[in-house]
Amino acid sequence: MASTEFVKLPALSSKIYKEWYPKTVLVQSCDDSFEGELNLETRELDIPVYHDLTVHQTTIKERELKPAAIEFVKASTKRVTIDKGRYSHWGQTTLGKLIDRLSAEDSEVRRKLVNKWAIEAEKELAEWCAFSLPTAQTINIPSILSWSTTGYLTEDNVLQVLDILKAKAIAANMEPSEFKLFASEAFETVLRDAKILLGYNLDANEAFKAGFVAYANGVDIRRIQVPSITTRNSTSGLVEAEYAVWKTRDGIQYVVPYKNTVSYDIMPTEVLLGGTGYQTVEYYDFFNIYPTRLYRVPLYYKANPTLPTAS
Amino acid sequence: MPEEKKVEDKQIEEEKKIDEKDFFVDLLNPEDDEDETDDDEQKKKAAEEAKAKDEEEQRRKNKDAEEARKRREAEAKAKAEADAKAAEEASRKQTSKETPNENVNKLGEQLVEFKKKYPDVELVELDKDANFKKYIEGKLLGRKDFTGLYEEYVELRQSLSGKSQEEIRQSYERKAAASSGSSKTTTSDTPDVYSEEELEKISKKLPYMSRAEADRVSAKLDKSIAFYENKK
Repeated sequence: MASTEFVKLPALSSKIYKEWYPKTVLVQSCDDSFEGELNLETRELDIPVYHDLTVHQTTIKERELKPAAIEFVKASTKRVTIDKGRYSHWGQTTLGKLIDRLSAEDSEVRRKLVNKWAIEAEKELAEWCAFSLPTAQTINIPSILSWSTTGYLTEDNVLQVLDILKAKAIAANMEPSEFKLFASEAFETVLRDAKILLGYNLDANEAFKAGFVAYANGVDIRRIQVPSITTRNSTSGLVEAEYAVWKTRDGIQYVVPYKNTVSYDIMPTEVLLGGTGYQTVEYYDFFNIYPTRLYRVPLYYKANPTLPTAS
Repeated sequence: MPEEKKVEDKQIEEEKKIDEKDFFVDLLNPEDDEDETDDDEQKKKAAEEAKAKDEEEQRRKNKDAEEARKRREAEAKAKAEADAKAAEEASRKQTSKETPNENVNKLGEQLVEFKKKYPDVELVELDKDANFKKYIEGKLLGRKDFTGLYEEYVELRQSLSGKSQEEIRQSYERKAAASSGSSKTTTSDTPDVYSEEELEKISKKLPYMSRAEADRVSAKLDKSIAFYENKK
């Protein structure tokens, strides 16, 4: 075999994806399944649609006479158009060995790249939840609890806030345990102050789940670190207000159906001795097909704060 | 001499008599000449008609004979078909009667032959290979025996995977050694890596793979890349 580069490049992309994805919290909590292959020309892809099965009330005799029509669940897909891409553009001179350093098992270069990709992906998704969702998908806690200019989240009302979130799910005929709350470290602090960071019902795996904080009042709470959806004190850096995210797994369907690294030659006129240019590319997109399964939740941690705004 | 002259005179006289007689006949039947002409024409016509009639008759006879021949042929064909069908039916019945035992015996013989030729290949491992089972489906006990089918399958796999026939056979033997512990152990210089063709296919497919799909191939893929890098 003359060269393994033709397989090393897609393998590198696959490795980068495999490594950045587990570093995320919000992105990782989304449904990432898709069917078939991305059509690169039309950019179309099929993603699964999760129907709710209807439960029929009947008598045994009646059911024998008139069984309800079958509902096909797994066969349903929705065709979507993938419209987002991210890439890192890098090169190496003829003398360089960057591709080898990136592909190596314990590559420090790749680790840095992976971290950046994870942070970017997390930030984009969190900002979309905080600033792009329609008003109907907001659970406005300050308004519901009449915080006005003086109220904010404390150890005294944190359980009430969690109950409101659960009530929203119950009102929409959903199971609250399907939801998770994604909030900043400030929420964790309030829980700790309220002495309700419960761990007695955890199994050994919980600690390894990305961003896991606790099960409090029956709610799975995860920590996300996206500065742009929080307002911080200019001096201490502590969070004063934020948009938390209350969602189920299929609340956001986040798919990455294409990842590759493409290479091209760089002429010696451009770089001494010439070299090779690389683009590590990912095409991806995310969708909120079920609006009742994704909400943004404004929270205050001090009186009369300013909520973050889209930059 | 005078006698000869006498005879000649007599002949001449007789000829004259005949001429005279004809002359009278002609005088008595003045239209005889014309009648003679008409008669000829009629005769000709009648002859022509008779000829046409004969020809028509012959045509009819030929036609009848042709039809009869075709009928006979059709009957013979139908009979032959019926006979063939009956024979086939009989043979099918015969075969179905003897199927269970005879087929088992035949297969048994073929498997014994196979084991003689390939003592290291475990039939259990072959049986576990779903692709092999699909391949021989409908072909077993056909024109090729089990050994032939196995060899054909190994060749097919070789052309698809790029592995050598020996490697493919060893894969069955290795599994056998691990499972039964009775077969002799075999060692191979080639580690468990993708062939070059497989690697090319995977490199094209890899960008489109989901996380789960990529996970399934990643370990072997890394090993393969390292293997071919060292080989350079």
